[in-house]
Amino acid sequence: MGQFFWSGKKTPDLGVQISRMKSFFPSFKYHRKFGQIFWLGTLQPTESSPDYKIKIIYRYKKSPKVFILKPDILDNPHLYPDKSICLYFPPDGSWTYKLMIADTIVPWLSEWLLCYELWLDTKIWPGEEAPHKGKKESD
Amino acid sequence: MFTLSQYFNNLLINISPPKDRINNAETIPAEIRSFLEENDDLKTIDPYSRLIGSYARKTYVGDIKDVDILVFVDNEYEGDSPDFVLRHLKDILENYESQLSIEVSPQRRSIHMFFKSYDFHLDIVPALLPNGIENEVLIPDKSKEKWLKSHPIGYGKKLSELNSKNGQKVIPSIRLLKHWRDFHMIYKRPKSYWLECMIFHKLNKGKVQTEGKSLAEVFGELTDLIYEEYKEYLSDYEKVPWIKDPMLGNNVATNWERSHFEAFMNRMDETRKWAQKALEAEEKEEAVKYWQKIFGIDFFPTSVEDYAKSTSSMLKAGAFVNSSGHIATNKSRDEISTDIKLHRFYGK
Repeated sequence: MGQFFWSGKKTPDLGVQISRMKSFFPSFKYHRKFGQIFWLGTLQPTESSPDYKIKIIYRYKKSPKVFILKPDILDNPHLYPDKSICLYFPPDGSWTYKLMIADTIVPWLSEWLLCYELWLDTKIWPGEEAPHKGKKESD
Repeated sequence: MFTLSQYFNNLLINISPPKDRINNAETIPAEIRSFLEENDDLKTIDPYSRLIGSYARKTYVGDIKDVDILVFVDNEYEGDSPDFVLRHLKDILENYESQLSIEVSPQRRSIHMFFKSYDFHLDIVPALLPNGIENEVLIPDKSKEKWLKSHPIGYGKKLSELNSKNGQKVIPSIRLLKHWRDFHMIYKRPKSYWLECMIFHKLNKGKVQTEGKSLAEVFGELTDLIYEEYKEYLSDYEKVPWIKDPMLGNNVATNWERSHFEAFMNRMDETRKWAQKALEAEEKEEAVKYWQKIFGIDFFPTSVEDYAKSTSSMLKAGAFVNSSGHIATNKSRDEISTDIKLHRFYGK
């Protein structure tokens, strides 16, 4: 372990984040490459689903960025313009950097995948949504 | 391509046993295992017994009507004839006191218990453990009058590992193929274990790549590969394929009759073509129509809108996710799972 530093600045909770990810979602492997800290892993919301290959980029006090690498994701109501996944409505304050990624981001991502599959089949997004107007922006 | 993941998820739910059958499969074998472990007349050794068969491997479909138990008897029984050990086990099981009406009868390799009021069957197989639980066991064969090698625990473990390596697609594929057999073939059915072995070998040899694929794609490829592998046998009027046991290497389908094999291949040929059409369909309704031909309209849903609505209610009430990402309404007792904290997705 021992990855407590990012760009020379101390980020005391990264080690805890890594450890919790390892305990709760062992398929997610931690990487540090080209100045980026990220996890790569797979999630499968139901046994009939594909195993989705996921990248979660850790951004210190900013919200993690989440991308689905495989299979290709069709355009849907819950993607940011950069194709990262919209997992929560930032003004709700449901995520802060003090929270564990394994307790929030990853379970929400599994839920997102289930909602996405049902949306593909029905055009109904079964998860709760916060409607908004204008361009979607991440925090 | 329409992969229809949640249609398939509904299909898997629809071919699962009802709760009361699952309850019987959990409670009745557990009681008999405890009874045998505590019984002084039968010398058993640690770990005393294990569940085997499709229930243990979770490859069952429809009602679970029977469950198999392996009982580990002391190696001193090795000197006794299979018939003696089976009769001894039968005598002990006949003394099992219960308010239920139970029939106990000897089989070739096991003792059969029929719980009439539950329409539930148990097969209890005595086994010797000459080299520990990780290795082959010896089970009695009354007709051959000898102890035969078997490796059901090793196979269960190997199947579970293969399932994990293949994005949890192996066991659902087996369940789908068994349901397909039940739906299309009233007579001349191939045995469940043969179907299981067919799928096991295709995935174990890496003939089907499962990464990033839906269950629909994996099942479609499997039907095609099974047909392609066996079609050469169709030109010979006598032959039937050899299906290798994944652990012992012997042919598990020694009694597959030629006419039964032909019936299987006819259905499989039809099915692989329908699966291909379903995967290539340009309209979702067309894809659904072909999958319904394969699995039956009563099992493969016409729409999953109701399921989407019930999922919405489930998510609002609070759900859990396990380490693979599977979402469930209840916290798992067997593995780590975490609750999904309440939140809202960002806008429409």
